[in-house]
Amino acid sequence: MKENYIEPITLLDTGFSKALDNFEGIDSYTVDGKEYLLLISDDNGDWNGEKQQTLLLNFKLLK
Amino acid sequence: MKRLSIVLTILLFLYYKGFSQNVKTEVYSLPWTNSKNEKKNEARKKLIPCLSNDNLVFKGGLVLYSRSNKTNKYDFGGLSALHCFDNGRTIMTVSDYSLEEKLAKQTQFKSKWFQFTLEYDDEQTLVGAKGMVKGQVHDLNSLIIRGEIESMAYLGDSIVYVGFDNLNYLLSYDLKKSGFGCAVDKLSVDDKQCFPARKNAGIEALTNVGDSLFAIYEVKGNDNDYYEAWLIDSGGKNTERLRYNGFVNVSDTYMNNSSILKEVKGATTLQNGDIVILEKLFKRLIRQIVFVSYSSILRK
Repeated sequence: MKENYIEPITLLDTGFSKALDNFEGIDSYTVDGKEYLLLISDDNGDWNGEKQQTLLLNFKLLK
Repeated sequence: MKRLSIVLTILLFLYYKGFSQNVKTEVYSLPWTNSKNEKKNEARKKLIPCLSNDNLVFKGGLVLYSRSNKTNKYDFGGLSALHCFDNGRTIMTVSDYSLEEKLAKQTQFKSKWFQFTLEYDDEQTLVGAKGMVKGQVHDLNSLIIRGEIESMAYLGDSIVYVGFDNLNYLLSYDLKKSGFGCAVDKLSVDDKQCFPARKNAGIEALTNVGDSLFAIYEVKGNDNDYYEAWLIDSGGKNTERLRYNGFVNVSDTYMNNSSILKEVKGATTLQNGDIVILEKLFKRLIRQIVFVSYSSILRK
């Protein structure tokens, strides 16, 4: 098998925050030619929702 | 009397296993800055300016809650992957209650498909979501998968692949032919020996590249300075091994701090073939997320 390196470009770096949950899923969709990202978080079974929740965030890509 | 107690025991056992409970789970949403957790709400409001830059704009966030007719707090959550349909108006997700041993023993809490309808305003800002369970996730032998589903990718117009913690294969589902039923195929990723030895780690980033799948292992191997990745054709005949050099613009202070975990958590393919990857750094409940993109899988 070939071995190849892949180098990425950073689109967003939030820095450390207590406001961010455990985001584990990402997908993209298109509306009127514009592309968007949806992000979903795993609450890790914190069902009282005190520390971790299920979040869904939406972003519009500009480039 | 003896027969009655045997019957009651069987019924209680079946109830424990999830039968005849007729749990109907509905999911509703609130704005993520208006959740039930006031401290989180304030922190999120402060974070919002950091979620937009020259590359992207934050367009709304929601917190999702369940409303079960059994008021069972365990019936929703653990969402690790999603796929969008209908221009973002519908999403499919899957739960992974793999760490919860006590729950995984009960049928009703094992892996489930959830489907959501999303609502946007005229500016395409996310303003609402409603969802429900579409069924439990079954493997090739029609057994309900206990958990550990961590990634999802679509090929064509009806085949969805899922990846797992700890397992070196993917399962596929044909939503047109069998809906949210049993898996239809198994696709090997690589030899078991190639997976780093860490429990509860696996293929967390999975996305389509043409007719193939691109997968990244969640963590670095014990002796590697890169993340293992694969380009897998859907026929399973040709798998190309790649190396993902993640967290390239994260400071050395964090990269050299072994108490800060750095994991690759998701991937999606854009219309032009670019791939966006979700990376996460965390220490306990303090987290940092990074979106990275690269123009194509170039073969050097």
